[in-house]
Order: sequence, then structure tokens, then C-alpha cells
Amino acid sequence: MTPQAIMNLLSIYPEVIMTMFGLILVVLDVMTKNEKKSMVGYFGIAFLVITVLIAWPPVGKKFLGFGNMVMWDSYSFVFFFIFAIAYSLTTLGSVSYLKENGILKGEFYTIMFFSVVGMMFMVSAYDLTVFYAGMETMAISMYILAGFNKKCARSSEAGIKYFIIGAFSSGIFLYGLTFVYGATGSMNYLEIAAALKGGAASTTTFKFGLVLMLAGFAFKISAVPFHMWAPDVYQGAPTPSAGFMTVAPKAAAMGALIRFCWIALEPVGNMLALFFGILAVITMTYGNLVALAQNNVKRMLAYSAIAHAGFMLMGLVSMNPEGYQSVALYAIIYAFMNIGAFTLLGVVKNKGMIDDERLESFAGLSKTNPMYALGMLIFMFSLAGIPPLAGFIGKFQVIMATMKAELYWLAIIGGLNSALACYYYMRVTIYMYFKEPEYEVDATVSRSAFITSFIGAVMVILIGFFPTFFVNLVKTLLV
Amino acid sequence: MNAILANIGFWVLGITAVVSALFLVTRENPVHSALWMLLTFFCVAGIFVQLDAEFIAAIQVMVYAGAILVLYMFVVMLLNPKSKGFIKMPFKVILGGIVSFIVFLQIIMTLMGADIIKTTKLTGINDPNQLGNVKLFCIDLFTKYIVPFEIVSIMLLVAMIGAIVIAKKD
Amino acid sequence: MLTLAHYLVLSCIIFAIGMAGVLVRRNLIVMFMSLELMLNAVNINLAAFSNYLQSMTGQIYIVFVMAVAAAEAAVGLALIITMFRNKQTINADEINTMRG
Repeated sequence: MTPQAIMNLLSIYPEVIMTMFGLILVVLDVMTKNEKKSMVGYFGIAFLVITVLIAWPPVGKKFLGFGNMVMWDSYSFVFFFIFAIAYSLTTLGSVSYLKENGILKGEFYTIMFFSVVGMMFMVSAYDLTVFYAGMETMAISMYILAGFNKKCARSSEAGIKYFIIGAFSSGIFLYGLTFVYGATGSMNYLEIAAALKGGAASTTTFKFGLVLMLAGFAFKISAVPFHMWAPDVYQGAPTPSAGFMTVAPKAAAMGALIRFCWIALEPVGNMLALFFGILAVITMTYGNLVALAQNNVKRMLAYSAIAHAGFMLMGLVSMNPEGYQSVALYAIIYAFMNIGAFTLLGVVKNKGMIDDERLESFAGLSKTNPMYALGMLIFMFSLAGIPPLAGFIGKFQVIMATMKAELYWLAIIGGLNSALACYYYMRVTIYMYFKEPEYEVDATVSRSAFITSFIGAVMVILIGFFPTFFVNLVKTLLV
Repeated sequence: MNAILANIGFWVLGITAVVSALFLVTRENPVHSALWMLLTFFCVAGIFVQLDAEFIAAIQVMVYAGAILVLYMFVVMLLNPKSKGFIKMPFKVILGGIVSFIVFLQIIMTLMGADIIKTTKLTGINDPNQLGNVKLFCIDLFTKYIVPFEIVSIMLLVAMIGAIVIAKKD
Repeated sequence: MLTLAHYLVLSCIIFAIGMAGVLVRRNLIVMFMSLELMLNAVNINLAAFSNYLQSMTGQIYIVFVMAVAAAEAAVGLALIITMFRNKQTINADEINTMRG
């Protein structure tokens, strides 16, 4: 083999292994009995663990293959690790929920697995073709996961809404992309950067295309004013897939956006900082303000997901290595706490006439089910960013990165926003601990859901109490 | 002579495409919309031929007109929707219309101001060895762009599994 | 004489019509057709730029866009069918059970 061929293989081998495992999952799905479909998901977790071990982070090395198209480095690895966490936790937490709703099918796990492949390609893309193909793999999987509960009108509604707005946004993205292609003459990140240095950056064609492309990106990470799909979709989708959707696609879009901005748009970086800054401010403020008014906890978490997207965007604004390190750390922490919260949310069943996820369902849960209430308390405090839990570390790192870039106004707005966010997370805990139960509520946590929330809670506490270790870990990986 | 023919071809195809696109979005009956969509697709295929993309034109006819359109027709026939489904809320219509008109104006203004517009006529794709469009296309697709090609195959697999699992009755 | 501008303006008009269709129409199937129209406009743009830049990249991208359009049509129509089974409607105004 020529060195070039070896480089090509090295640049793509984790994705190839994942694809092979995905195909094995499809076969396993056919072979398992109907009541044992959760095995497919557990096999998926095993496969992911194997792939994580095989694709051990190549610290300091960069494998760029196929004519500068796909990159495998420790940056790709960190994001792959986030997707692996999201997949594993969602799978563990989903089994009992899916069984109760009669949608325990192997396809749920297969599609989620393939969406991870798409996201990996998105993050490791060095070319817009690879990026687009990966993004659509992810997006189509997400439409299916959102509409997976086909007997439930809300779920198919969520699927359709997600589909229409997703396809609309990728149409806009593509239209912008054509202009960027026309102005720079290439789809490759490195060649785009070279063309921008050569003077293409000042052309109207390029600026116009870039604006449309970034609008398409903003749709994907549900940044305000392109957020309107997010609350409905997260509320209507089956709870486990909603948990997955708030974490993994967002992390993938952020990862790809960071790579695109750092490699391809590096010559025009200063132009982008203000754009992302304004976007971040609007996004988190709007998400927090609207979340204040919600009485449905799932919908509240959906708006809080928008606010968290704003926080992650803040890390992008600073345009320094600390910025993207903090975004990666934030995404890892967010994966643990949000999927944990969604898993616990999925087990609440209200025997009264109101929706399961209404705030009133949580009243007095600390007396009837203290363990559940404790778990929810940890996740809510962490999401609110109360020290010493992990959520605080994430927010702290992002704000520090912003301070380092001397964007003090942004840091102040970020701080104010995390204070604002405390209120609505606190409401849930207040309902759980200080209100009398109004309805008969069943919150029995099944074994697999317990394991998920236990892992989530332990990680949230560990990262919160030993932040230096994790911060340094991310720093060494993402030099 | 060739130039005049090309000009005539462009204007005929372009105007037909725009008019049928307009009809597509304004017809109440989805079947009519689908048929107008067919006409648009054929005109766009003609435009592709003009732009030295014969292979793409063939694919356009096969994939869009042959597969996607049939899929749409199937669904329309299967559901036989009773709701007329045209505009209920005038407010939304006005808003949507205004938004798209503004975007349209924006695009046109940008295009007119853009430097790229001042270029002379299109020269066509470079083909020194007389390979022809299909060969040129495939050489690039299966060497340079092999990775995205394979990813698209994964995507089609996902879409197939998903469409079956969602639409199947059980 | 035909220039790049001719094709760009044509694709812009089709794109705007498709966008208006998505925003204005309430019939889900027609909304999907309008989405296809937007993708077609993108394809014209790509072909025109491919011709202008004398590179095949644009044309190859069209194939990816088409594959995505086909996959999206399959998934989207499957979603419409489940929607219709649940609610007996394909009107976008009637899918609004979630508010808040």
C-alpha cells in the first residue's frame, strides 16, 4: 500500500467500522424476537464501546485523506465520544418508555446508530459535499425518530414539522452554498480558505451566500429567530428521542460549524464574531424568557435547550482555542444532564386527566418517590448552573473563554442569563419538595432507566467536584 | 445561428418553467400541482442540457419525473384528501407572500450588484480529450468524490428503513 | 447572448416561487412539492456555476442533492401517511395541538 492509501484509510476507519457495525445491527434486528428488541440497542452500545476503543484519540496527529476531504483527529474523536455518550444513555433510558408505548422496535436503535455515523462525517468533514451528505443522514434519521410513535398524533405532528422546517432550512443552506461555491470555485474547506485569502472574501456573491449558509446552520442548532420548530418537535417526539435530539444533532452542528469557521472561514473570522455574538445573545435570552412561562416540563426543557444552544454559540464567538474547548466540554456535560433529565421525565405517569409532563404532576414527588426527586433535583440544579455541579463548570468555561477574548458585554449577558434560568429550573424542584401531591402519579423508575439516570447523576457530580481533571482532559485532546 | 437557437431555447424553457412553477403553487387540486411539477422538471432538464450537463438532465428526468413524481401521485391518490387545503388565514398568506417577495428582491438586488454578473458568456466545461459528459462526470464521482457517494448510500439505507417502519401498518 | 446572470436569475425566480409555496400553502403535499422546487432552483444554480467555473464539482453535487431529495420525499410522504391515519387531515393549519 502506498502511504497515500494508508492515510486515506486512517482518515476514515472509525466511520467505516461504525457503518459495518450498523449493518450488523440491521441483521441482528431481524434475528431477535419481538419482545427482545432492546437487545439491538444493547448491542449498539457494545459496538460503540468497541469503536471508541479502536478509534482511540490520535492526540496531536491529523489524518487527512481522500484529497483533503475527511479528517480524523482528536477533535473528531471528542465529538464522536459525545455522540457515543448520547447514544448509550438514550438507549439505556429508552427501553421501558418504548415498551410502554408499544414502539419497542429494533429500527429505533438502528436508525439512531446510523445517525451517529452521519454526525461523525459532519464533524470530520473537510469538504462541503461530505458535510452535506453527513448532515442529511443525520437529519433524515432525526425526522424518523421524531415521528417514530406513529399511533400518537403528536409524534407524527412533530415529525412533519421537523421535516418541513428541516428541509426548508437545508434548501436555504444549499442555495447559499451554491453562491459560496461560485465565488470561491471550490467545495473544499482548504481551497475555500485559499480563495478567500486571494480576494474572494470581498465579493458580494460570497457574502450573500455565506449569510444564507449561516442561516441554514442556525436552523439546525435552533438559534433564534430560526427556532420555532424546536419546542413543538421536542414536546411531540417520544421522550427518549427528544433527549437524543436536544444533545447529539446540536453537538454535531456546533462541531461542524466550528470546523467550518476555523478552517474555511478563517480569513473572514472577525466578520463572523459579531454575527455569532448577536445570535448567541438573542438565542439565550429568548429561550430563557419563554421557558419562564411554561407549565409543561418537557416544553420547558425544549426552550431551555434553545437557551443552552445560545450558550454554546457564545463559545464560538470568542474565536480562540479556549472557545471551542469550552464548547466541547459544554456539549459533554449537557449530554449527561439533559439525557438524564429526559429519561427521568419519561417515567412519570399521571393517572389524572392532565398530561404526564405537566408541572402539577411533579407536586409532592419527594414524599412518594424520594430517589426520583433527588435525581431530578441534581439534573435541574446542574442545568441551572448551580455550583458545584457540572452545569456550572460548563457555563464557567464558556464565560471564561469569552472574557479571554475581551468580549465583556457578552460575558455579562451570559452571566445574567444563567441567573434568569435558575428560576424555572427551581420551579420544578419547588413543586417536588414543597407542594402537596394533587394527582396520583406513578414514577417507578425501571432498572435500565435507573442505570441511565445514575450514570448521568454520578458524572454530573464528578465533573462538578473534580473540574480540573476534565477540563485538562479536553484541553489536551483539543490543542 | 447556434447562439440564436440557444437563446430561443433558454427563453422558452425558462418562461415555461417559471409559469408552471407558478401554477404548481397556486392550484387547489394536488394532482394538478403534481402535473405542473412534471412540466417544471422537464424544463429544468432542458436547462441542464444547455449548461453542458446532459447526464444530469437524464437523471433529472429519471429520478424526479420518474420516481419522485410517481411517489407523490401515489400518496395523493392513496389519501384522497378532502380538505382543499388552500389558504385559510389571509394574514399568514400576506405575511408569507411579503417575506418571499422581500427575499426575492434581495436576491435579485444582490445578483445585480454582484461582480460575478459582469462576466461574459459561459464557455462550457473543459473537455480536452473529448471524453464526453458522462465519462468526465463519472471519473470525478468515483475518484474524488467517492466518500460522499458512499455516505449517500448510508443515507438512502436509513431513509428506506425509516420510511418502511413509519408507513407500515402493524 | 446567454450569460451566467440569465441562469442565476431564473433559479432565483424559481427559488422564490418555491419558498412562497412553502410559506403560503397549507396543503402538506403541495408544501413538499414546493420544497422540491427550491431544490431544483439550487440545482440550476449549481449547474450554472459548474459551467462558469469549468469544473465538474457542481454537477456532482447535483446528484447528491437529487439523492437527498428522493430520500426526503420517501420519508416525508411516509410521515404524511401516518399523520393522515391519525388525524384524517393533511392541512398544515390543523396540526397545532401543541401550544404554549
